[in-house]
This record gives sequence, C-alpha cells and structure tokens, in this order.
Amino acid sequence: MDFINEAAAVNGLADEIVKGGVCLFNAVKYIYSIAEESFYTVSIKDAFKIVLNNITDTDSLTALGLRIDGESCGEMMGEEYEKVLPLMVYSLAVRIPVLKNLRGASGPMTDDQLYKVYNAVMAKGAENYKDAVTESFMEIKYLVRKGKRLPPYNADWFKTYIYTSVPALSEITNKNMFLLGFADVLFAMFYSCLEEELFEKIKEYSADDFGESIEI
Amino acid sequence: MQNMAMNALVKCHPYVEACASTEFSSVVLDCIIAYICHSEGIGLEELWARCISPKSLYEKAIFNRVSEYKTGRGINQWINIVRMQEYARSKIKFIYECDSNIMLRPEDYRTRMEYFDLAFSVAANETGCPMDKLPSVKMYTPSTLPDSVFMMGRMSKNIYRRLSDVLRDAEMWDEKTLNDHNRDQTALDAFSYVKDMPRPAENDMRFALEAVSELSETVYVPDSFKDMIDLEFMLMSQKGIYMSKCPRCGRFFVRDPEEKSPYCHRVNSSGMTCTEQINEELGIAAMKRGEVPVSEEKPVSEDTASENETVENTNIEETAEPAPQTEPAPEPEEVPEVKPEPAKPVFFDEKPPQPIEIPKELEKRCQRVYNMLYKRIGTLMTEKEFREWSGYLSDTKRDLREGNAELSQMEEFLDYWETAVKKQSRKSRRHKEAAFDTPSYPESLPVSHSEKPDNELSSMFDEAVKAAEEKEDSGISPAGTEAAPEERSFKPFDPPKYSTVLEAMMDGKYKSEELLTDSSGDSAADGDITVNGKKITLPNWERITRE
Repeated sequence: MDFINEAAAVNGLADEIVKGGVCLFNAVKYIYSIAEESFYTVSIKDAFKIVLNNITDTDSLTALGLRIDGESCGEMMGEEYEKVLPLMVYSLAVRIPVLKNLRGASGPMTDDQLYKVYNAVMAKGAENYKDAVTESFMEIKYLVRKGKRLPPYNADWFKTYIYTSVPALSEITNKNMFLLGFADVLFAMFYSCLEEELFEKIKEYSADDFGESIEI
Repeated sequence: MQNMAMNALVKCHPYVEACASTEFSSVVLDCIIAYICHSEGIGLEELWARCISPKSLYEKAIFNRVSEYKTGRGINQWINIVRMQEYARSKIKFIYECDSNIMLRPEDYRTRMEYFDLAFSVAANETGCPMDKLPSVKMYTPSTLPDSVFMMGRMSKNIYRRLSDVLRDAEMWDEKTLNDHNRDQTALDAFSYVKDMPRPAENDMRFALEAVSELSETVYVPDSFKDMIDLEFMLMSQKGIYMSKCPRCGRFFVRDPEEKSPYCHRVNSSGMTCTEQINEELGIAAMKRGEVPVSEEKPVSEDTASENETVENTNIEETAEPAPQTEPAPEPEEVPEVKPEPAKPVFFDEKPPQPIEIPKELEKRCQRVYNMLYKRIGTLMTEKEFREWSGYLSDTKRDLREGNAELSQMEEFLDYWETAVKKQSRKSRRHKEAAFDTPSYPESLPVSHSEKPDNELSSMFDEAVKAAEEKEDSGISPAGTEAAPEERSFKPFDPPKYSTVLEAMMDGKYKSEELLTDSSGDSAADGDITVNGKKITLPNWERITRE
C-alpha cells in the first residue's frame, strides 16, 4: 500500500496499538474497581459502552465515579500484574498481519510494512513475558496469507498468566471471579473495535482514495 | 454567563443559596440538560450516548453530569428545585387553604400538617422505602454538633489544655468497632476522661460566655432540601405563624391572627395592596348606597366644622344620613369609642353576610351566556374584554356565595348581556343582507365589515359595563377587577346541547323567521320569507314517527 509518509504511518499505527494496549489495561482496572464499592450503582454495560467508544482513551470512565488506586484495586498494584501491560500490547502486536485485509487502490499493506509496524510496537516496550501469549506474529501472518479463519482474540492468555503469576488475583473471591468473567467479553469486543480504529488510521495515512475501499 | 444564571437561580431559596457551591454547584448544567431533553424529546440515556465520545468541553460536561445521575452520585438539581416548589405548594394548600374569613385553631393547622406528613410516610413505607434512608432534620446545640470542636476552636483548645494530661495516655478508638449497639458505651468511655474536670476559673467562664452568646441556641442540620422545607413548616407552626389565601389575588400570605381582613398586604401591579383595593371598592359601593363609612363617623369638632360644611355641600345628595351639624365638642370619654383604629382595614358589613346558593338554572344560564359571548370574541368583544367580562361574572358569583350580592343582580346582569348578544346577532344579519342585496362593489365591502362594527361593538361593551356598574348596589366588585386565578382561567368552549330541535328553537338558535319578519315587515306564507324582494325558503321541520 502506498502511504503519504510511510515512516509516519508506521509510527502512527504502532502508537495506536500501544495506546490500545494501555487503554485495555486501564479498562480492566477500572471495571475491576466496580466490584469494590460500586457494584450496585455502576452498570457494567455503561462501562463497556464508554470503553468501546473511546478505544484509545479511558479517562471517560472516571465519569462513572470509578478510580484506580490502592484502595479500589490494590490486588492489581503488584509488580507481577504490571507485566500484563507489555503482554497486552504484545498480544495486539502479533495480530498486526490482520491489517493486510484492508486493500486500497495500490493493494494491501506489504509484509515489509506490517513487519515494520510490528517492530515499532516491540520497540515501544511490548514483550511476551514468560511466553504467556501463545500466538505469534508469524503464525497470524501465515493464517492471513492463506486466507484461513483467525481464532478470535480472547482473554485466555490473560487468565493463564493471572493464575500462574498473580496470586492476589488468583484467589477465589467475589472480585476476582468478577474480573475473570468480564475479561472474556471485554477482550473480544475491545479487539474488534480496535481493528476498526486501525483500519480508519490506515485510510488516513494512505495515499490511496478509500472512497470505494474493499475490505476482505 | 453561568455565574449570572447561577446567581439568578440560587435566589429561589436560602437553602439553595447556602449550598450553591456544593449540592447545587451544577444546577445551571442541570437546567441545560433538562432543557435539551425536553426540547428534543429525548431521554437521559440517549443524551448520554450522544456525548459518550465527547468532542468538546460542553459535551464532556454533559456526559460527566449525566454519568453522575446514572451512577446515583447526583440528581438533576434543577428538576429537584421545580419539584420541591410543587411539594411546598401542595403542602401550603393542604395545610392553610380554607375559607378566607375563618382562621382555624392552631391545633387544626398542626393536625393538617401532621396528616400531610403521615401521608407521605405511609406512601414511602408502602412503596418499600426504608424510613431511615429518607431525609431528616437533626437538631443540635452548638457544642454537640459533629464539627463543634472545630467550630468552637478557641474554647476547644482551652479545654484540651486542661485535659491534656488525661488524654495523653488515652486509648484510641478503632472506628470499625463503633456501631449502633455500643453508642452509650463509647460516649461514657469518652466521658470518663472529663468526669473529674472542675469548673474553669471565672476568666475562662467569661470567655466561654462570650463565645457561646455569639452562637445560636439551636442548630438544625437538614439532610436535604425537602427537610428544610418541612422544617420551615414545623417552625412556623410552633411559632404561631399561619398563612392564608387572599381571596382577591389567590396567593398565600402570612396572616396575623388578629387581622380581620382576609386580603393580603402584597403590593400588586396596580401599586396598591389587595386590602387597600378592596377597601376602596367597598368604600365606593357604600357611598353609592348612601352609607357613611365607619371611619368617617367621628363627631365633628369646631375646628373641622367648616371643612365638613364643604363636604356636606358636595356630597349632600349622596349621603343618606346628613352629616351632624356643628355641635359642642363631645365628652372626652366618648371619643375613643367612636375613633376607629387606623392600622386595621375598614369593613362596612356590621352583620355577617348570608351566603346565597346559586340555583342550578341560573348556573346553566350563566354558562349559556358565557358560551354565547365566547363564540362572539372578535365580533361582539375583544378577547381582553371577554376576559374582563368573565372576571366580572366570577366576582359576582363569588359575591353571591359570600352573601355580598343578590340573585336579582346576577339576573339583571345576564339579562343585559343576552339582550346585547341578540342585538348584535340582528345587526350582523342585517349586514349580511346588505352585502347580499347591494350590487357588487368589492372596494367598499371591507370598509363596512372591518372598521364600523369594531367601533360599534367596543362602545357597546363600554356601555354594557357602565350599565352593569350602575345597576350594582353593593358587594359586587366592579368590572375589570381581578378574580382568583383559578376562577379567571378560560374554560374550553362547551357548545350548548339540545335533545330536540324544538328545544334549540326555544333557546333562540333558530329565530331567523321571527327576526326577519320583525325587521323587514314582510311576513311569509307557507314557510317562505321574502327579504327585499328575494324569497328564502325556511326548512320545514316535521316530527318523524314510526307510523
């Protein structure tokens, strides 16, 4: 695909993915805090609506009176849980080949362009800590190239990591069960919205006219 | 802009003003939200969804505020103020509305208030609302207030200095262990540190006296606006302040129990109070009846004799009893008996008026005349004139009910207006005929229809009002005076209903035959009428029977 400025496009897309990862990370914390004292006053549906309408900005969740501090989500303040952030960004980075599905007049993004974006994201701090994320860039690239159906983005790696590495969150408590429950739904919905957002970004950076774009 | 709106809004009640920076800090935004929802016909959910990805500070402010409503961290305070106003109105009406000539006993007012509050409690209880969650007012003395240590800082410091030795080794309470069951235990444990404290020295006591005398004896801490309103009612009842509805303007006012006048002392648009206005009107009516107002019945001294003579000369025909001739000054002890109290309003009715019940037939007739005139707004009278007329009718009815007027006056009034309507009907018919008969001159027609009738009819109205005023003897308020708002309001047009054609004809609906015959003098045979050489066939009404 031809970009107006390829370097800017690569950097912009990498930024968007990192911001998405940070947003998902914060969203999990905010929603987890609902279980602390706002269980009957804040509707989780409203929280989801806000997150999914503001993919790269979770500040709006504070409007619901939610806050992320040691009191409301102390279990997530440990060092081990902090590693979830680079893991989340990594889990999104490995799915970069999906962007090939957007085809402009000059064709889809090339493998080289996709790889550059992936590298830029990795350079910004994405990391597969303890190999928690089982998917890889190459694997997804292969599936996209073959036109095979991709497995949906899910929270399995997140749950596995929590069970194995974050003892405070792996205890059977009301709050922790709430976390594991909403994570499944949130991750799938969030990725779907982020993908749409990335396609829009590509259209912005692209030199092609997407008046009649074809999405495969 | 927001500050201006805020300043205007907070004046609605001192409580709102006091909480302007806390509870009511977003009242302007609340007002905007309510307006958007109302004007665009959308709900809060839709407005919230619209602003979910805010693109401006305005949208963000709305989104944040609606989120507060959704999560129960705030309510729309603008709507709250409006609803509170309605609550206060209902409560005032429930407690204080009664016959304006009667002041109830304090216990009656109190009972009404208790009944109202109990009804509220019953409703809350039956709808599953826990009573302890409902707002309430707490009563404190300054030293028992939750923040008394900080509010009375200097005194507290002095006390602390005296107790510092004892308190130094005191064990701190764990807040989590405090609950409803150990309140007394906690309080008495705290008391144990001060039980041996002697009374302070004279200087300290004087200092304390100064500090305490600056503070109010009782401090009320209401949980909410509603409780503030309830507190006002309660304190009014305790202090013997009662309200009454002015029968003239329909608004409530604080009435002095010793005050005889049921009218308020609020200055209205006329620049006078209702009491002053009613006194003036009654004064005029009494003058017409030829009675001398009580206030003018004082004996004439030598000094005022010449002045009275001039009054006699001018008003001699109007007064029934001649003014006393120049006499020696009355005995000093008699003067206070005759002299009226200047502060109190003057009333002319010595004996209590006998209320008159308006017969149903007369009520029906009133309604019929009302409908007839309502239909003729724009022809017989303007809307403003109709409003005045309807106000006059309401006043007359009220006067009848209060015993200040007689049925014959009402009948005369209705007679007059029925005649006026008939006259107008004839005239308009003649106009139609003239328009029908005259050769077509399109330019001249609008002149005859638009200008002349208006002048004629408005003069007819003035004439009618004047005549009605002349006819009234006493008690009836003159035309144009204000009635209570609920009486004044327009009623939707209710057309007269007839079960038979005969009934309608009897009512004057189908009197064309008679009118035409009278006006033209051409009688028609076999149901046909000739008007200026043209034949009009009248409908032939026949009773249809099964046979």
